Amino acid sequence: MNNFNEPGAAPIAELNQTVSQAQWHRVSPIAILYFAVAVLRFFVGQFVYLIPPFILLFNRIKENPGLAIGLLSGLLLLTITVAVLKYYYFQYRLSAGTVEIRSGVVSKKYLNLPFNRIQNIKLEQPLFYRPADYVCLQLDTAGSVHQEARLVALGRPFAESLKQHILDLRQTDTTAPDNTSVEPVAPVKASEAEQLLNQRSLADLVIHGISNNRVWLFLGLVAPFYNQLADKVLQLLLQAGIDLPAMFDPTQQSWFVIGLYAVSLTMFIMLLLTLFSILGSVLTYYGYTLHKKQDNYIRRSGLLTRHEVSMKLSRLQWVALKRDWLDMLLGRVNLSFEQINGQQQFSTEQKIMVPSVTPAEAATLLDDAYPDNQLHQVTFNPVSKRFIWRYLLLYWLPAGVVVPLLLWLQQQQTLAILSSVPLAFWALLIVMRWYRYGYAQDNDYCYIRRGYFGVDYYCFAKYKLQQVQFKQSWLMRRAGLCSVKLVMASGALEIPFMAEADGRALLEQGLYQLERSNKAWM
Amino acid sequence: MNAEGAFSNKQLPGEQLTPLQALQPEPLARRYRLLRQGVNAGFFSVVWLLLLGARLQPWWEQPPHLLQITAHALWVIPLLGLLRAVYCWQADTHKSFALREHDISYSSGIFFRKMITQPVVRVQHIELKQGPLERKTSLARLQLFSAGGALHTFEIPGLDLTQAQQIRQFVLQHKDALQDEQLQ
Repeated sequence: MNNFNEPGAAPIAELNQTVSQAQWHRVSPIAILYFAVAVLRFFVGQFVYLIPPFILLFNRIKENPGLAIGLLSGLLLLTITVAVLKYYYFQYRLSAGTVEIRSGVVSKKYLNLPFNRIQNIKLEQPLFYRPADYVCLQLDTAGSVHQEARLVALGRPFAESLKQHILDLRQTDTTAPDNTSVEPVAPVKASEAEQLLNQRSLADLVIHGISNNRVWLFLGLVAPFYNQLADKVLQLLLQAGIDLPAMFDPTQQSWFVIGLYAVSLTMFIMLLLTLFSILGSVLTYYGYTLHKKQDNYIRRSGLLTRHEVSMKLSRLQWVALKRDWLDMLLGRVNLSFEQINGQQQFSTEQKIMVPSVTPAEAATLLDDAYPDNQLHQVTFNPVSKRFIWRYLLLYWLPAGVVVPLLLWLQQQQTLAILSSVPLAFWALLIVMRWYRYGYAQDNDYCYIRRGYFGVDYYCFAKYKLQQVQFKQSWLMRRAGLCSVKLVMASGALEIPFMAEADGRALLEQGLYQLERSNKAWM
Repeated sequence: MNAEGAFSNKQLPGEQLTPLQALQPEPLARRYRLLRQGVNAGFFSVVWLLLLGARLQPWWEQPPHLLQITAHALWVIPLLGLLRAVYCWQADTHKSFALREHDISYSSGIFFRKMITQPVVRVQHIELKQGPLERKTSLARLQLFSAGGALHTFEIPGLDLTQAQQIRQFVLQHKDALQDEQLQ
């Protein structure tokens, strides 16, 4: 599979035309398939709650297949008609500096997107586009979701050269006003080679699947089928000579054996869930590569639908190195380059995540993005122990007194005693939270460490700040403490209960850097 | 563009820095406090009168436990109104703002003090808002939007209209402001 840019991608003649000269084009007819899938997805999304009654009516349908076939073929016909119409009315026009898209069957939509407003360029390749090597080019703006433009079904060479053109244009555009300031930028060579920064093997993805259980998503999807599934599974097991209800019947077995069965069943289910999670990880990140070309990071991955996300380095807001406890055990880090987060729900698409890298690889990637960072040399300052007291006294203690007391009063002595287990765990979480919190800064960067059992590091350049907040209660003032919230385009980070002098210095220097440097944040 | 000419509200001239801590806070308009008191009093009076009306109305009979509840509510509601009036008065006296050459700060809070500082360079757009009552009393709210998201919109309430317009002008004419706008 060829994922790389063809270096000599032909320049597109139309991009020198004015709007009046430009012609409207249709995309390739394979787009019909794309629209059909989209329509089907829409139907499924709309009627997902109809699936359980549909399954209940399954027997009725089996008796009367004619109706079902009629219904299904009607649906199919509708889908195809809608897809063809959508394809017919989808047209685009390229001219110097802008792309225009006309679409919509009933309600018409017209979109005019100047290239210099484009924030992100993504190439997406669903499975059915692969044989003929078509891609879907998605152009995001920083504005609302509705302003994104999708050019469905373009030939890959054409899409690549269009992408390159937009990227180059942006480059010259953004550097032009900056010429007077610090960084003199060398003229952009159109066909600079891509540099491979990182690559994930199948083994890495398996590790990622184990340590990042995303199976809950899957479980949620199959929720309507639980009853049917359980029945089927029990039947299957019975055929294989395993009678689960009998195994767990206390009249037939001793408690010890039941306990043993329960443990092994749980282990088995956990194993199954982990397998699903690995499957999910492989589906999303198969063939993962991270390239750097000029100042752009390009991520490519996906087993079925291949995604390509590019991000300009100047759009990077912070680098996060996240490890939960399982990652710590396996010696891995999830590193993500996060950029502007205008719409919360698309945050996962916007950031470039490098799944389960080793700490050494993470350090290399971080150094590549921020060459002068000192994350691995700095010593983190802890936050005050009052952090623990605050959460213990304010939340833990009331709950810790009220819950066992209520249970005791209701004659549930065992439950009252048992409730101390989650309470102890909660207290441990509070202490771990305090233990993990840390902050440090140097001239240009700020570093924050936090987590519970795992540990996350955030590293960002101070001039990327958007807003700062300084908080202090009356008690904190007496103890010379404060909390600080640092707002960036990718989200907000808070450092609670830090020394007041440190907090003030951090804000003061952050503001100084951003107001003095005049560097654009994106 | 000359920011100094449009609005000379510096804390210190030149590049010399005033630490956030040493900023001279400027209080909000006094009318804002009075307006909030008026709204508070008006709201609680209306609720009280409605309740009184419901209790004294002769058209339908009320069960005795409801009568008991309304009897208590008739003294609880003015008390709540009074408490809220005291709280609002205190809270409003603790609200203040300050301008430096490159940023605007807004502090609030009685026990939990909070100071938000918005650098002018990062302002994406500005809104001046006036509700009907604010229009009557020529007050305005100034909102500064940054890329930090809707959750982190910087707002100064209860500004004198002319003052709010001056601050808006100051932000718009700031030599670094809105430079990112054309890149978006």
